[in-house]
Amino acid sequence: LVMKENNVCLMDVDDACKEAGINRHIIRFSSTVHLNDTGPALATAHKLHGFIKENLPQWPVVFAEGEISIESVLVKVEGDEDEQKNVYVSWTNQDEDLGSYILNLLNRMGQ
Amino acid sequence: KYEWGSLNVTDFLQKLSQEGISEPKVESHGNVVVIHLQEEDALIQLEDNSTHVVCTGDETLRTKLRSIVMQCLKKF
Repeated sequence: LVMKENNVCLMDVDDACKEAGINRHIIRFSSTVHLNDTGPALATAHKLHGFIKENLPQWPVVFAEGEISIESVLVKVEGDEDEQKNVYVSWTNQDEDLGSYILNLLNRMGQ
Repeated sequence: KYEWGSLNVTDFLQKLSQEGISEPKVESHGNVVVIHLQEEDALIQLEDNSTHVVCTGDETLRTKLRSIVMQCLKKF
């Protein structure tokens, strides 16, 4: 909510920062989880997509080009067919609750 | 809450040490500073308007680093 020239208006946070001459500072976190799942990385990503959707039914879980995204949270699987997979989970500070929830979910899955 | 401003590297390193995270390896590449925590297996990349905290799945360490980063920035 921004007050400008005696008017109050709703503004996107990035626009409001520009308007006020403030440099936003973006904090991003990336963590890695190891999963024992053989087969192609894409198949693991599909499994994770289903698993995350099941656990977050109210959230827009998007699967595109092998990567899963939920708001600013990105989940990416890497690793060769016969190896254990590295799952990268990354998110911005504004999505801390969501990002850490997904990381813990995957950590539990990897145990 | 949203963070703004730039992070002071000296302050950040001092707070790391206060939290018992010692001997970080600091490298500068132009306006990018990379702090490598070898013992903790973590990396923090600092730029003027962004900070990237990269670590293993260890949530205790990550939340500690998050708290230190946030202490070094202004919020609105």
